[in-house]
Amino acid sequence: MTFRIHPAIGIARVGNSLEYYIGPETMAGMPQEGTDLNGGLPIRPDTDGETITSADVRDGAGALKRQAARFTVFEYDDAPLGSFPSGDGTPVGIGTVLSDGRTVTDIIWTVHLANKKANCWLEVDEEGIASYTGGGLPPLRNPGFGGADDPSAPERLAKLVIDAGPRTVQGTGASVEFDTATPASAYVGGAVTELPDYPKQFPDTATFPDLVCPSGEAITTLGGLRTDSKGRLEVLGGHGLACGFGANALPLMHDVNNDGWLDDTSDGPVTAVLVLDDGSEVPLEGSAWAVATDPGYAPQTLNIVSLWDDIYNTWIEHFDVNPGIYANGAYLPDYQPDFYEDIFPVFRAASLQMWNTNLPDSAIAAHDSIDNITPEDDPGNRLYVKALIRNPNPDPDGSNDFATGSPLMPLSLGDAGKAFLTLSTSQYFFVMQWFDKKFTATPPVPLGPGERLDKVVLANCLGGRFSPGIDLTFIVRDTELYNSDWTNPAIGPFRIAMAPLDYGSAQAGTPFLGVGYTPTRPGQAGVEPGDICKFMAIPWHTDYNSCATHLPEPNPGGDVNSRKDPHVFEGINTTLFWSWPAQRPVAVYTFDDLAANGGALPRQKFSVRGEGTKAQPSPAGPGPFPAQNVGRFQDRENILLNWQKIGVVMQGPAIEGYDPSYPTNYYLEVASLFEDDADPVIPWPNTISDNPSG
Amino acid sequence: MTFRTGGLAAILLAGFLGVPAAQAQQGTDCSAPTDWFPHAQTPPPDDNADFNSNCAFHLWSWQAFLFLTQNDDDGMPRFLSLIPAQDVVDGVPDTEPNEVMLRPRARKSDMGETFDEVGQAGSLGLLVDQNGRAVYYSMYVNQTYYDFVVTQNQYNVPANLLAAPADQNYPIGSVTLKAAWKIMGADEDASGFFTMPATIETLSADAAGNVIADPGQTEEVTVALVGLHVVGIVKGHPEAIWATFEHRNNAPQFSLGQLIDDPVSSQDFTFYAASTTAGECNQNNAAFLTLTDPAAQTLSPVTQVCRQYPFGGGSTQNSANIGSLNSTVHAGLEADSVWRNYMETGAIWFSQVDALEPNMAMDGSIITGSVKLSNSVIETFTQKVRSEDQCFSCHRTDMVFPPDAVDQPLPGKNLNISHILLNAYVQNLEAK
Repeated sequence: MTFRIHPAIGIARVGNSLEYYIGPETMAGMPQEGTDLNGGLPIRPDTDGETITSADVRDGAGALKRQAARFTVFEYDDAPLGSFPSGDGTPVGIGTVLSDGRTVTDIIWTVHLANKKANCWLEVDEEGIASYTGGGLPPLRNPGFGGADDPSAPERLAKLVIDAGPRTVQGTGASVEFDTATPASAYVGGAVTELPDYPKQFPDTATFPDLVCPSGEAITTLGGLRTDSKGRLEVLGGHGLACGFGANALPLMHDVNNDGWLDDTSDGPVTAVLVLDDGSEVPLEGSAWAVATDPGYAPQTLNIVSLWDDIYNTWIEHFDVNPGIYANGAYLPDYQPDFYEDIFPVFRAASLQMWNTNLPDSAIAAHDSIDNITPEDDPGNRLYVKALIRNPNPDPDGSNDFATGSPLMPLSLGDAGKAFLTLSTSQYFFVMQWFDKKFTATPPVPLGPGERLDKVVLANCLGGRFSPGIDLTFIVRDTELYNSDWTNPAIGPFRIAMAPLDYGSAQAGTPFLGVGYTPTRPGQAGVEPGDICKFMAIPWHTDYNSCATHLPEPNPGGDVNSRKDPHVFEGINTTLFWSWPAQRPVAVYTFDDLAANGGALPRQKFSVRGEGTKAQPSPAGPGPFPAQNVGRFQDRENILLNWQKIGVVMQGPAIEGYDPSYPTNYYLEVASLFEDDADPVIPWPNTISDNPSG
Repeated sequence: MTFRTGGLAAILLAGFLGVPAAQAQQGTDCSAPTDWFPHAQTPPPDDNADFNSNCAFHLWSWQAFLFLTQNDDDGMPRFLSLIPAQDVVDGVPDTEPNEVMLRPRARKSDMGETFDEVGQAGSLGLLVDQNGRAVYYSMYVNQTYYDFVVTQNQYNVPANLLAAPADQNYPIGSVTLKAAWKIMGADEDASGFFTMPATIETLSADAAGNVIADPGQTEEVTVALVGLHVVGIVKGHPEAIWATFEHRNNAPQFSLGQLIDDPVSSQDFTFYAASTTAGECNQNNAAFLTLTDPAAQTLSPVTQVCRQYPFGGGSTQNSANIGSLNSTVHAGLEADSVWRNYMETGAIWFSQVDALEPNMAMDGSIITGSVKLSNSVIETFTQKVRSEDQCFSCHRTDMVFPPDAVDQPLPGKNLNISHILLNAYVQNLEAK
């Protein structure tokens, strides 16, 4: 008998409310038995799966609720794991009788949240993980801070890292905060121990005399912990705050790397100790990881390439997590992927993109068609994938499809160095197996309940294109990030390699956390709290704001600024494509507009709209093309003040007051607090040279 | 080519522009043969000729245009008596074949204009002329095309098209046309255009504010021909020669070194106001087009049109050949011929013989001629869209996904290259 915590990586999301809901435990957009509501909807607290409605998005004062990451302990047998999935696992709560007859009387959870963004290296858009390979390192953020360009410099570690320290929580209905007032605590030496000397670090005017917080609120918490009536853990993140320091904090000049800024996202390890009715305490050998990141504005829109697809791909190709799929450096031609787990999600994800993007009718028709593919269909009659799906594998001669736009799919922006997005190599393999009629609709080993949590939580996050992304970034492709001991049933696959944390050594006034994880470096001590989120944009708001639509980079036709010779835009791609449409909605249909239009689809609106969003030319970007700036705040500071007004895209039947005669498969924006419309939404292919306001 | 004849009730031939013929361009011997003239005697092009040079394809294009614009027995240009494309959808010849209903549309979609032709104009931009009126369009097929598709194979019936061999080609001699028409204002100078009376569907706004054609309401107007696609299957080229012609005064073209912020021309054109900058040209109005005066049928904003790629791009030889042919044809036409005011914008085809295949890539490795060919008044807004800036961007052999029959996509076929047939598939599935 052994235990693991699931999900392996849990996702909390910031909100400006004190209230919260639980993160979705079903896969975005996928059919769910017994309901018209597809997966991806968040869950009401302390329920097993009661999904929220549009009335639950905001609290009574109109503030955007936070999303808690819920963790559950599962019991497994002691046999080594041979392949994912195993199909095993039984959830364990307070009161659960274990397979050996003992009863769980309590669960002691320990979580440690921190944010190391400001002491991290620059995120270099066109490089991704390549910045770190071959011994390379990008330049540091906040270069020269405290007179040092060494991330291990004490002043950098003390001031540029927000460290709330560890907290423990146990029992049912309990809560504890990761704030300045609450003492740190951890399970040390076989007991829950308060750590009054733990060097908590929050930015205040003592640290930064010139601290500027545009919302008027300083960062005094990274979130909190709750337990529900079963003793499950709920990890809450911060409130979406960002504060600047130094003379150059404002105006915000960048989308991804703003020196002189801090935000209240975070991440860190989750560990547990089971207390049993025989008086014994069983510390779990393995750990999970909590990440608190951007709000989920379209929780039911599945990404074509999700974070799961990226992480699973890494584990298939580098950790032999399923030797039936991939062995000796190659995919196995006889492998039969599961239609519903491995293939259909690509089709469903395509059909869902229309709700967050300005797709034209013809594209919507094509996506609707592939959404109707069943295992019984002849693939050749339904989707000629060999001519329509971009190949992620370069040809032997080095040529590739990465710069070829329409008609190759997916038609959204690609990851570092690629103009357009590709499926992961395993996704591509699965889809090609389907086309060759080598697939099954009845998998021999379905996912166990804990394994399913591992998958769906990550499947609801952004993959494929990072730069740096929304939830996690390119580090998910780095084998050094993970604990490779996955066949150990007390560890399992997809686990972050947690660094040992000796809380007994914590001293007041001395930073507890170090530089921590550096991508691609073998033999590291492990991953510390704050090491996951540190590669994300700082503050996250500015990157979210900008990543609506862009030109491909690299532009397949050359730099748009070279438009002069020989003809205007000769061969240059002037069309705008989507960055992260499933995670960062660009154009939406609002429920109010649909109702006013009698249930017929109305004109779209930008998700980010209202005062301050009317498109202007960028001073630094390729000008004079305001259309490249539609659907976002023109002044970056405004997103710090207005991110919480963005509406949430939900399926019709989850919307209060949704007319039952309207289609059940519409996904509409609700709960937006933006009052004004701005530029009109032009259906794709819109170009940078179109006048956005006519 | 095989054509059928038909009658037209009225003739409204315009006056003439006495434009002197330009001198043939240097560096090419691609010239109009003398036996094409007078225009009344231009023989039909030989679809079985040896198409072994760039010039040969442009010769076919111009000869087809001249033949199609010859007056027939009723004194009207021959192309007007071809078979309306809607008859292919319906599977029966119209009893009054020349009463073509004109419909407004200008913008290609990403996957093919076939869908746009079936009434989904809601999300599309319209080309708006300097008077605020929409430009209208009509499409035709010749007898060879009609007989093959409808009479012999009934490919207009979706089940038959589904069953058609993927590598089935259209027969040599098949021709399809698409004409663009500007509505002449009451005081506008119609001289220099081919004009005729026409019935048009008027425009209205739907509940969401989109400008749509209203099939129930029509208006009698005088229209002027401003653009004509001439598409024909010839020996060795089942992909067809895609040629397009425009009125010479439609729009200015971007010159070498044109800057985005600089005016394109100091002169007015039919679809361009003097001194409009390059950046203001070809602005897609899909999201903000408004019917400002339903009674007058005027729209806002007016579209300023420029030609992005003179001669549709391609090699200097390609441009020289087109330029030379334009000059020598104009020189050969009668001085008072209205057709001297129309020019070949360009033509595009495959560089390999009998190379059309289902689901094939149609990129720079196989297309040749005017490789960035758009008609400035038919594909106005997509000229600057890299993935839609030539005929084969949208006329392809890929799968087709009908909007209202999600479980009946049409697999990739050579026949899919013609959107007129795809219209039949989509519309007849919907009707079913």
